[in-house]
Amino acid sequence: MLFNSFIFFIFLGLVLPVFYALRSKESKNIFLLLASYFFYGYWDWRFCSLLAISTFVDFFIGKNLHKQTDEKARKRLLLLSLFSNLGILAVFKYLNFFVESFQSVASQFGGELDFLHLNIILPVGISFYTFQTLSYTLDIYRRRIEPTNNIIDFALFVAFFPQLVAGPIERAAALLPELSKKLSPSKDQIRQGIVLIITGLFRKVLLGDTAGRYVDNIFENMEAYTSVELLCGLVLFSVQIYADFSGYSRIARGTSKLLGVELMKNFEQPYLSRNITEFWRRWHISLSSWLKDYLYISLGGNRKGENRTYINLMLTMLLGGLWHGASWNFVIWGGLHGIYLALHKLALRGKKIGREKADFSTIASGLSSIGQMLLTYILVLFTWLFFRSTSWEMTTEFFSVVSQWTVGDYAGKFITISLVYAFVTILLDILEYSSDSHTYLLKVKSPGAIIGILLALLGVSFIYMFQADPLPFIYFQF
Amino acid sequence: MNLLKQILWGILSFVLTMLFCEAFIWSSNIANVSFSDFDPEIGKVNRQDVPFLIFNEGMGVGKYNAYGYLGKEYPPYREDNTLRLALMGDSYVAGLQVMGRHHFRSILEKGLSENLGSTVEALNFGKPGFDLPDMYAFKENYIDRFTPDLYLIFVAEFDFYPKVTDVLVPDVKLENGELAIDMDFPEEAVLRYNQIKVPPQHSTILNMMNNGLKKTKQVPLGSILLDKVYTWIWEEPELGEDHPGATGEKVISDVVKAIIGDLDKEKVVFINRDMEALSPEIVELLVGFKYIDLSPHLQKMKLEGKSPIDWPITGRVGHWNHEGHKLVAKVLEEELASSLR
Repeated sequence: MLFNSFIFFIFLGLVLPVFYALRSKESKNIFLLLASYFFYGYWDWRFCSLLAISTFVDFFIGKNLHKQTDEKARKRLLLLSLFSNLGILAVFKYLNFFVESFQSVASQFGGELDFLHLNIILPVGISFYTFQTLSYTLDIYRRRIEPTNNIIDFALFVAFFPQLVAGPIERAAALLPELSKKLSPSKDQIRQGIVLIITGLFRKVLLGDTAGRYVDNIFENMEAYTSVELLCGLVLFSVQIYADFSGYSRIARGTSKLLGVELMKNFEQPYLSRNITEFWRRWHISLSSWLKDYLYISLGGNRKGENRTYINLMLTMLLGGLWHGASWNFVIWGGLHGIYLALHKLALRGKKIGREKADFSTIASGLSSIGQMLLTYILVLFTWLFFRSTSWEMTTEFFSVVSQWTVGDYAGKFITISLVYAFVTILLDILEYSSDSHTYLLKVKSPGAIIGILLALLGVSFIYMFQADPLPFIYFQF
Repeated sequence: MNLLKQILWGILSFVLTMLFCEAFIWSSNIANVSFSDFDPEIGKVNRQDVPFLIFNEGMGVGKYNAYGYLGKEYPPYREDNTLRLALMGDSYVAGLQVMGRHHFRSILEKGLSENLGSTVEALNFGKPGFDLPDMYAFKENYIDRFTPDLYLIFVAEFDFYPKVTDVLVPDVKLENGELAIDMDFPEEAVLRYNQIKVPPQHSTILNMMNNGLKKTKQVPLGSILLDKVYTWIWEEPELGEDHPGATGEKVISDVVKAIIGDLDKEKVVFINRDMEALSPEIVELLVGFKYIDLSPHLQKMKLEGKSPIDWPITGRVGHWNHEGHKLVAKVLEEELASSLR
């Protein structure tokens, strides 16, 4: 079920009154669990079994991990959890990728292995809930949390519908305690939830989906477009992927708030970052912090010398790239970010990057900040090419067309369109950046004005949705 | 008092936000304003000087020029040493799925000019939804002002069995055995159209609302709102009767026969633009005209694995894609060059 569809709002309109009417914690959680399975099964009910398998396996392994004192036995249990979770992920997401890569190598030596290809459908959101359940067993193994004894709470932790298919990837330490209490949203949460849902929908539908139409047409038929149009397509993709995913995350957080659950922020104005390290603190925060905590630190982090730190960084980013999809293009995307991060770390020579905001107190410092933001954006933009291209051939075709430098009759039109999208995206981010809040609208003193703005944004989003076909979220495929 | 103040704030902020959205949608071409207008001497026409960027099966970029037709602008006055082609037909000829430079009109004009060594002007008078009588009326009322040397009329089988009639498109009748174009549009319909046409012509948001309303006439409201839940309760929505693919009684009317009889065999070229060949009865009617059948070329291309009507991005099968336009231009160039040389 897509958040940007009317059926989702009807679903929410049915779930919320029943949820509010239920009195006990148990009945609320059982109802939410059923609603979450319906939400997931709406796409393909057969894959609900995968959710159930992950739930049961990690619930029982978690309990045994906690009880077990023998370190070898604990390690075996952890490996069992890793094997079952990553095994499912490997089969559904990566098997064909590795088979195809193997076939490609074999064909170089005259081998024909086409029969190995399997028709496997990728279950929506599998990478997200796999990482979420893994964090549970890993944290129990590290003795950071204790396991839950309530299988309903745990099942809801795995399948909680607002964040099930595209995150934010929550940690058991944060989400499970919330689900263990009776869920009851405060008035503030309801207000914030409504604002997040409507502004998220506007971002997804009016910015993400509409920019995506340009991007899809340009990237799928590159030879038909000029260099300028292709570059505009890349800029529009940077808008699309941000608006699409941050819009989704906002709707997820807003929906969750209406149920009385706080989810972590996934984006903090990433295109206003002044360097690549800051970018990764602001982009897909739940994944980057997961990779840091469970992969980078597990590999040794920066505790094993300078060279090893860079290797760990590269490995983390390469695997982070591969997490996004079974394609070498994602690996290159991750690798480029790894190189950027390593170079930045090298340039800093051990100096820590602060979390203070950009300084606009003087013209010189303001211009310097803008310059840094632009440079960071251009570096990130370059990597988006590899992310958007579905194959290496597509990437090389992009370079080939751009290098021929053609302008075309519609260059002015496409440049204007790209600038308009960029302007609106940055404007919304500046409002958040300066107010330190995703729900800055609530800072407006007049409730009438807030309602007026929200009604207009919701109205325009619904009008667009009504007459156009919905585009699925990009991150659903990961 | 406070409530009234809040209501006023609400209205003001609503209007300002709507204006912001309108400016954004308009400048980023998310949606277009309405292209349609009404001219009592022609019927429904396209507005003049309106650029567009449309997403349907693909991405169409272009402009309704100062004369209200598509593509490169040529005035009614023409030089003697040019060859002027009028492209007539439905949405396939309009070709709003591709950019102007990828449209077969541009490719054909350039190719034929080079091939013949003289200036060729191709004017795109394609109008979505037009069948043979609609094209005929449009030709008589408007296209003839541009004095084309050749009329290329693109047709498919169902164009010879006209069914749908927009009351604001002139009707072609037989009066005492003579062809007549009925320009007496129903007054009420004209009045109503003139009243409602203005907002969508000036606001992209209102035009999107208008498109939404049109959509509810093609598919049930329930299926838009309820997605696949709708099919759990009701049967899959079917195509309306007025859909071009709808089957009906197949009798070629006297009006259609008279139209074909009235067209100048020296100046009119009929082109089957469909993937399927025209039926023998229709081909027989066209005897005496130059006739170009695109269907074998389109089928061959499809068999070679490059379907001319598939749109992988939207997953739709519909109008000619980029490859299709190239093919149509190539076939027409070869056929026309050989007969014009």
